Amino acid sequence: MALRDHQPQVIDTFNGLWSRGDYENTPLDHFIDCNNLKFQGTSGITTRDGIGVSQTVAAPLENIRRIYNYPTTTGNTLIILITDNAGNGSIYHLVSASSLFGPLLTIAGMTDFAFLPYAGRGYISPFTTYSVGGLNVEKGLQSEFLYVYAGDGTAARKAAGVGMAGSVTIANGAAGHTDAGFHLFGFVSETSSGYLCPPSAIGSFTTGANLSVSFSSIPTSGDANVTKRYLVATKVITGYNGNTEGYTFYFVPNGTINNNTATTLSNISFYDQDLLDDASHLFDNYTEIPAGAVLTLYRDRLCLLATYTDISLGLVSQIGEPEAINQISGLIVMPPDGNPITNAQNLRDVLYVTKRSRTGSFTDNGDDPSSWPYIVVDNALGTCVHGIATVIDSGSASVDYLIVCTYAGIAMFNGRYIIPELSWKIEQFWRDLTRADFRYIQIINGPVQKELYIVLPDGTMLIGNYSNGMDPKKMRWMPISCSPGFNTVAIWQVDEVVIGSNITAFI
Amino acid sequence: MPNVVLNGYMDLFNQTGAWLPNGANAIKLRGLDSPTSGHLAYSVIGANWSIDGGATRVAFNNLPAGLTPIAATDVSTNLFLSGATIPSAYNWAGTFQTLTFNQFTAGGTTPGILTLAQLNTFLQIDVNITFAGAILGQVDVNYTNGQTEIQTLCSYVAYSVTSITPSPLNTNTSPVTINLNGTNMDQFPTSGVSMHFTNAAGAQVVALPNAVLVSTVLATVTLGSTALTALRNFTGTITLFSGAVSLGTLTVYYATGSGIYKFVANQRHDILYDRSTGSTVSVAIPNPYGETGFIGG
Repeated sequence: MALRDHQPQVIDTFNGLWSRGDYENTPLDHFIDCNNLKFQGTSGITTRDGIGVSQTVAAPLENIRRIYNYPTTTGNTLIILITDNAGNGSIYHLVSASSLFGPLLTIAGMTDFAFLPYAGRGYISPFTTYSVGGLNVEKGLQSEFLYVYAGDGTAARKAAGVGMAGSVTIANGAAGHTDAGFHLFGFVSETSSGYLCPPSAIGSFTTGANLSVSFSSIPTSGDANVTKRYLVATKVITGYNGNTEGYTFYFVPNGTINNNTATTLSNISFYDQDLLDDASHLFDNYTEIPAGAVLTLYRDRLCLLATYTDISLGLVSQIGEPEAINQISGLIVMPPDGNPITNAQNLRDVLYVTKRSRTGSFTDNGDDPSSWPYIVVDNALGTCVHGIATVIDSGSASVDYLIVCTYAGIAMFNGRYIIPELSWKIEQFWRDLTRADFRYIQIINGPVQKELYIVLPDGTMLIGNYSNGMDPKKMRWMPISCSPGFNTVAIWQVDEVVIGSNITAFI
Repeated sequence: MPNVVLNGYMDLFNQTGAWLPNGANAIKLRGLDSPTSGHLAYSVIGANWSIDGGATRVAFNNLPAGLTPIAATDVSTNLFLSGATIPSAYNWAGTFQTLTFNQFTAGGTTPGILTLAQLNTFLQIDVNITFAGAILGQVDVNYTNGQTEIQTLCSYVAYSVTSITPSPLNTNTSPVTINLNGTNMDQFPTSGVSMHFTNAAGAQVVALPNAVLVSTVLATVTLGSTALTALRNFTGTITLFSGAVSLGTLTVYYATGSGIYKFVANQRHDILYDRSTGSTVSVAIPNPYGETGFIGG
């Protein structure tokens, strides 16, 4: 047959990697193998964009383990974990290419951390991987805690806090008014992050009807982060039984000391019916919150999950008070099965919680978190600690769905996992990944680029382009690599893809 | 800490230099299990040589009548490269402390001066190169022994090769030198390299494409009481094993390259941190390619 009689095979469309079934079944417009290409338009390819340095300082950070977006009140920044050869993890705050705060926090053994921005502050939970019965378990670092960072370059400190020590002297003040009778009084200190410590320095006094109450020798807090103290009191008690915590305390109107230095508060008048704001719940709050592997926000409540001692437990804060977690009523539990909770995300007002191969949900019923019902969503699919795609700098889900890295593939989740997965075309490629290394996977979603960025365990990255549609058959997949390798990825300033590499020891 | 397993081909060709196990610009091998140490180890325990480019190998056991060979003891060293760093690609060189060829003495019933022709036919140094450990792939090996430098492209697999065993010669502690008209030869250009060795499967031959540059300083060959000053050009043929195992691509990462990066639109190369200089270094985007499926299927 003459060459001129051969029919040309035109390949004018390139739709990325195909890894599904036999090589011979690969569509002509797909690759059986590819690397470091970028999709152009709807069907073209070119060499991927090059990487450039992100920091312009004399001593840029190295040994990058994890990067998160950190939106502050003044701009969008990055929070970064690096490690040294001694195994110490240090956290830095990258404000801009030329401005860096830190280290904010250095903890031995911190190989990863969970992060939640809230009201300009950042909540940091150190965790690492433990081998438990041959299973790699990501959970809060032993004997470590949740930390809060103010966002201003000052060192991060332990969240929550203890009450003040000492006692207060109570006496009648000037002419005024109270409901005469036996009251208990105490003081609640407030930290700079708005955390209210348990009432302390509790004393008793019998007030007179026409007299106010004055306090002296009011203890100051040993915590330099305390900025205010509040007077709390019970209503008149008849038949006091000696249990200072057995009565309901209320914040006393006009009983605020706007500093941590004054030791007197004079001439406070109030009636029992003025006592409306309950402070008793503060007694049961964690004074130091154990570290966990997962942090998320659900209905303005901080949720911390997978602590060192309880891998199926979640701690849920009060609404609007991320550090106020009740040790009794602020707990949610995913049925224990030996696997740790790996991730949690709010979607359509439901808190979805995952393990590596299980997904369940909790729904706020308006009552304490411990009363929220647990519902099984999927008993086969779950994800890893960084396996739910976050969007831009929100740290949260896309509009109406989650994109989740499961063992079966990269799937859309809208309350259930949608089959086929978005990674349908590269099913074999995904399933060839080592499950024990899924903890290294991190996925983010770049809606501006219309691309998913997935860091893989071997230090390469998988890009999923959905400019032709977020549909399993329209997705275009492309592995990319670079000399330093990819360890972590984030999107900064809306559409700038930032990557971190660490080649001394892969995370 | 397990040995670092290098899966695939690593081009370590070097013209000059020496091992830099802890060099500032060394690169590190990266693996999923965070190997921060490991070693490449190999030893030279013999080599095949021919003389003056001759195709016929000469062997100590082919001594002309009247000559009693000395047991050949090729002193080899285990070149052990340990530590957290591997010298950067394209700057490798191996250094063997000695390649010592022992003298052989004349003896027997016909003592006398060994002629060049006789030397041409009997001198052989067998070198077998064994790569121990978990190193797989192809390596360019440079090893020097003072004035001895051998470059070769070696293919190897992860098993040891039994050494060729020539007829034993009596050992001699003096190094062997060969000089030509009073000048020690230090270069033996050749073209074409092949390795001959024997393993459990029998005699093996591997032809290698690279030229072997050999220079050796051999002790004066003494036959009886007369020193032989004739100098021969020695051509070394070095081969490791037969065959090669292609295991894919080894990704070598620059030790100084970690940090925070960003993608730059329309930039067609990568710019990495170079912490040794405090500046940056431009490198090519690694191997952009796409391989289509079966056309016509």
